[in-house]
Amino acid sequence: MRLLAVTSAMLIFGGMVAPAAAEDTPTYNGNVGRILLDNCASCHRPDQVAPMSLLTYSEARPWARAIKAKVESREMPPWFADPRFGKFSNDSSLSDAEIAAVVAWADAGAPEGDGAAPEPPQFSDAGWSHPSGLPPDFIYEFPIEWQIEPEGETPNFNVYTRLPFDEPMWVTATEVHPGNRAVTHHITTGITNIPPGMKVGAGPVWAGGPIADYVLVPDPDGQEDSGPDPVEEFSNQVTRGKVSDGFSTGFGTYVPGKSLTERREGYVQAIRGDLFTHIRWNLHYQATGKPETARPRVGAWTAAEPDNVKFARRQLPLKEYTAEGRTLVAPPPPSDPEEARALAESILVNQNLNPLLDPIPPHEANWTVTGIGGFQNDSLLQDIWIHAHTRGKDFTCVLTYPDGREEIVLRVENYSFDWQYRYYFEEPPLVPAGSTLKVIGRYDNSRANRSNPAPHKPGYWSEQSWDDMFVVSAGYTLAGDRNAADN
Amino acid sequence: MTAAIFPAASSAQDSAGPQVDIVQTVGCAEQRSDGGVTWWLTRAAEPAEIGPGPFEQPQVDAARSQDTGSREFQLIGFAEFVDPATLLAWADRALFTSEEQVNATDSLRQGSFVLVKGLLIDTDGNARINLLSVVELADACE
Repeated sequence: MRLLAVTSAMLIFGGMVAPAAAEDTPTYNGNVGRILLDNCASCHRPDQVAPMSLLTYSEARPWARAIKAKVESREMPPWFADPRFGKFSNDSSLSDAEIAAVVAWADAGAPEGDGAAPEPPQFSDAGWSHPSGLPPDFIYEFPIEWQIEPEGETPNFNVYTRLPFDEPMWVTATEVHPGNRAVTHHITTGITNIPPGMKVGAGPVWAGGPIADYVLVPDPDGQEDSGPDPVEEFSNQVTRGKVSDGFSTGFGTYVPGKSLTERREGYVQAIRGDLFTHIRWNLHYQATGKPETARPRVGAWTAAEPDNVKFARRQLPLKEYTAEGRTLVAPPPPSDPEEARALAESILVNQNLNPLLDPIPPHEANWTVTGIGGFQNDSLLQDIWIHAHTRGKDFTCVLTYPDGREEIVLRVENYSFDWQYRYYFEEPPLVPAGSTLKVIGRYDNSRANRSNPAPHKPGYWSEQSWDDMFVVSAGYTLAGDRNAADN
Repeated sequence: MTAAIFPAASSAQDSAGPQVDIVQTVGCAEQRSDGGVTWWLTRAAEPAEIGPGPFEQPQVDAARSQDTGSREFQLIGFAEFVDPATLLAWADRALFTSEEQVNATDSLRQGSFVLVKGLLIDTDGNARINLLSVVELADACE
């Protein structure tokens, strides 16, 4: 095995066919250090998510056997897209040649080698993870630190802070720092306006929850504002089944394994400070058994205003579902306005997102749901993000073109809650108007799923980590001439 | 504009209007074997434009008493709505689906009366609907 690995590495790196010799063994300074620094160090460095730093030879050397095991099994660097389908610009997996080199290096006793040590990439001292190593041009920290109780259930909630600029800001990347990864299930940030008749002030962060500032509360002085009430409008959309169109715009997100959102090279995103007044923070914390605090931040890397804006990223809503052999049909919309409004408000804080799904039976290993969305315009499919919790097993994304052909564009073979990648297509597929995207998700509520918190119980659907979710975000841009008019 | 990861989405609206409409209609399901499995909606009612989103029960109930018509559409994207064996044999489905993993509704049956929703492609003389949803309304199309 060892001889095979070493020979393989020699073939690839040395271009020679010769008996194994010490001078041909990969070394840290020769090539392995560069592989580790370029592919591992973004997480394996101080104050990041990984348990140990791998920035230098002396740090990597004690872990050589563990590195070999994780790399050889492709457990690290984590990457979950099936290589048979689609190519992705953020593919973090190692090539066969790189794996062979690391294995050979570990098997040879992890030699340091001659020459100078490879230079570590530049990283932000403050923990930002943009590949340039530069800190963001814009940083906004939430004004207060959240206190998270050691026990109990915390629902999603929204809080609002004033957007500190009133002109468009053009960004190439955004990053959300949770402030405390251990307690943070997710953070989404978006920009929005405050509904008429409401203001930001002190109030319960959720019904019956603790009192804090930065909460939407009624504004008696604003009741005479005759403008539309976005919550009311959204409530109407909910009752008409139009949950997700055109309510607000995203800024940045944090989920485990993903805090940085980079826009494709050549594209920018407009954060419309001229149209919106506030940042909406959707926060979800989970108890750890001890008192915790968290203070999130959002950062943005900016660009000059482009001469000709051609990029407006949209999301394809997957709103039709089949599950376990049934087409899902929605109950009648709430006739009681209060009930409709309560439903709308729950969705606005990212609750109740899978209301039609039945619980996953205990011990069910292949519970399947298919979400379907339709492209009404010629489009370029830019990226796909899938959100499930611990029962998420595998997800397959299939395009059905107007001529009836099917194409698998992404398959996440071993979904991991800890690594919720957004998969960016290297060459965005052209999707003609009239195509559909189907995302076929499987969930494992059996004992074989080692992450499953309760295989003997039904798996319910909610934002809480012990329940599960089926949420897909498929980002696309309009193709051709339509794109030019769309920003 | 980049959208939030949860339902909040782009505020960008399509000023030019969609190139393809989402429609719903009722009709009779018919399988043909003309060079492979194809499904058709015959005696279909005139399609009505509709927004995305699952059928609501009142829509389904109303469709049961809807009259058929004289339109005919080829149905594409039918894999989820046929029987499990047909789904498994379709395209590359067997690459990632085993028998115990099939999620097929079996809503499209020969001669059944169905309510369908999908993208109406009617620009090239071959009117077809790329399916988003299918609900069987009755075993037989009267």
